[in-house]
Amino acid sequence: MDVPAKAKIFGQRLLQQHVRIGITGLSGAGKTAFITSLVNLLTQDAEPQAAFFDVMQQGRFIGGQLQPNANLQLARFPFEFNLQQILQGRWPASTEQISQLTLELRYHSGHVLRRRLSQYQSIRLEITDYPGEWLLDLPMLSQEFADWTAQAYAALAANQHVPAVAAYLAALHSDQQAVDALRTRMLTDLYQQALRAMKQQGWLALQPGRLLRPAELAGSPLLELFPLDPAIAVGPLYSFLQQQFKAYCQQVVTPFYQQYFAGLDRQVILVDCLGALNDGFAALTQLQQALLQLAEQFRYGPDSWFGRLFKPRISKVLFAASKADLLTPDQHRNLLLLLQQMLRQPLYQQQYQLCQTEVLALASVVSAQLGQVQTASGPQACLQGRLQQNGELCTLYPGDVPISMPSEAIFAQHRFEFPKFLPMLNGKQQSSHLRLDQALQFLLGDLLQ
Amino acid sequence: MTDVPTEPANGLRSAERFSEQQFVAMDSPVLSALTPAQQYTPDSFVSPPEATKPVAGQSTAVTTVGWVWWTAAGLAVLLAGVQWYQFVAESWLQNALQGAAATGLTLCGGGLLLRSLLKGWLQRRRAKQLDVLRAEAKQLQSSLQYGQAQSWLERAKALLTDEPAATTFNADPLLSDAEQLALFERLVLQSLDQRAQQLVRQAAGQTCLAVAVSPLALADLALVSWRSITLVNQIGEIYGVRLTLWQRAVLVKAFLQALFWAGSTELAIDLAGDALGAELSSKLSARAGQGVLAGLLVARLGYYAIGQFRPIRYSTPDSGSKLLITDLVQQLLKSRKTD
Repeated sequence: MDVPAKAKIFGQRLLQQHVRIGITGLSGAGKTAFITSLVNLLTQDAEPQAAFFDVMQQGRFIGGQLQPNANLQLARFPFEFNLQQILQGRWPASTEQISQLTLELRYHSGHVLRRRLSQYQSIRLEITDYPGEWLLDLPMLSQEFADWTAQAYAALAANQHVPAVAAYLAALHSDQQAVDALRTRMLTDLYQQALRAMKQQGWLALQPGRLLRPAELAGSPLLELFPLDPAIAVGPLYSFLQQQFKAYCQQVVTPFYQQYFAGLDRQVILVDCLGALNDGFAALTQLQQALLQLAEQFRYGPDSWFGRLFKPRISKVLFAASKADLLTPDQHRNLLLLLQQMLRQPLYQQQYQLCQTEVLALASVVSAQLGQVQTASGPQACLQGRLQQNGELCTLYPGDVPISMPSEAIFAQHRFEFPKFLPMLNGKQQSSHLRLDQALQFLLGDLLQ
Repeated sequence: MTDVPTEPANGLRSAERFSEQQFVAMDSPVLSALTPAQQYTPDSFVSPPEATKPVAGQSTAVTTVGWVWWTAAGLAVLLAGVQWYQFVAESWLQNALQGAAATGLTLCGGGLLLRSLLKGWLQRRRAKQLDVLRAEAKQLQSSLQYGQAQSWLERAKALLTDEPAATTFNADPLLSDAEQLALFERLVLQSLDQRAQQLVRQAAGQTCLAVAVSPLALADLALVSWRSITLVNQIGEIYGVRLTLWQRAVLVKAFLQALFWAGSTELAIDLAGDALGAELSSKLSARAGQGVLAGLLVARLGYYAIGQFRPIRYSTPDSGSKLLITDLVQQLLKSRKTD
């Protein structure tokens, strides 16, 4: 970025006209759909469905437009393509690389004086999308290699029944200490396959995340990082990996964090509780662990002009339980309570740090229609949508959501089977959302007054 | 997925599949344009059983003095009835024409009396419905429940049958009760509020001008009370509540009480604290100052009435009254310039 462009952003940030929103979420939480739907809501010319977003409801919103990114090296978020996918009834493909989007919003001020002074006000939003797998690398910054390898090895040991994991462990144990380029490459590839297999099994805590989604680092020696048996804490392979770990943290994780997370003003943490419930007790506890670890990586605190310029802090956090459209509405409350209970610790911390928090059950793109069926015990609310596996129309009651973290015993006797539907269009051939306007009001309402 | 009905062993219902034929779609907001607007007459309205709670304090012990009064009133009505009957009977005896006239008078009078009683009863019932609605709204707003708001919304819509925004309002079945109410407030009540506030501003301005130019103190008093009563009536019409004269008087009384006991500090701030207002009103004559005061009083009453007529209580105190003093003074100054 050249100096004038930086100075411009500096000035805009001083006037609170440049806001960075961080959409945080593990892979599969629905970040891409959330960004696409959010941008669609802010840029579409049709009458938006946003009764809870003050600036739109009061008719003061003029419009939003996509702008070229300040950092031209970064890929642009493929908004139009993703939107087209949704309108054609498909989910956008999962994110492979980092991308950014800059949006300029114009609105009339609600203040009489400000409205007299200028015809319109404007604000710039900077939104970044990235593969959710990378996010899980952030806790590595506060870890030592010994801790990391023990933790990652334990995850492998827990998945020994998976063939790819067994293959990696066998290769690792065949010759513990030999270090040569060929062997490290082979072990890296095997570990990569093991990680992918574990991901298929619904395992969440997978590090290093870059190995799962290498993007531009594919084949780079930086990614040669895999865990060892913690019983052996000496030897050439151990010291090689120790260096690799350090290099990975310094050259991959730190820049990623510095560039996209250190400067956030507002944050959305998307959580797919339903997917984790489907995957079982281990997935749910891992999700909770991951979220707790993640919440420690960000700077939270009240907004101030000095902080905004030199040391940005996140002044508002929205915890969003995504995919709430896969539930009948009476279960939204349970979903909220479950998320709240999972995140009790970070929520308390953020309140202590004077950061505003909100918890919502939302759906970026509604994929099911609510209806009723007559059963023997009276009318029963149910959902209808097209299943993601085969596109067939399916009518079902998706089941209840527990209002607190379910114990392992509950998983043993109860199977959670929340469906996965394809996006659905409404009567105007547009996608509809659930509570996205409330999310916007919380995130931006105070800036668009 | 199982076809077995729910087994609440751990309190959680399992997923359950149904056939496509069984599915009946809820009217979603998306399709709301296609479903015809439905209006309800007040007669078709049936309150749910829990809504008709006996109002506390209504059946308080009647004192002996109260009994005496009631007996006296009852006897007087009875005597008047007997007297009237005798008068009609005597009229018939004297002259058929006179008798016919007396009977006609009785029928007309009785009809009018019945009509006004019925009207009063209907209005009273509407006002009661409003009270119930307000109490329920308060409960719904603080709950995270789902599915209770539908009946509330239908009754609120029944109150606001003249309001197109209300009759076309369709609840989003995906939202919770508190959200439904918030949506109703945003999409329906806000426009009503704006209209009512416009009325209040008009009434305040008119009162202010009239008091400023009228020379008689007694005329001022009559003017202010007349304008207050009509204002309350107009605001009530906007919110679908028609008050009897008696109820209007009760409202004004409640307002005065609120002014004395609770609102006095606010009023003092309004009157004295507004630096701009004080500075401006010092430039005006004493009469004009009185006009501003009277206008302010009417405006306060108007805002109070809005607060009382809204089916949902104000979630945030309005800031509209702050600008009012300057507004009124400016209106006065403008009218003086044009004179």
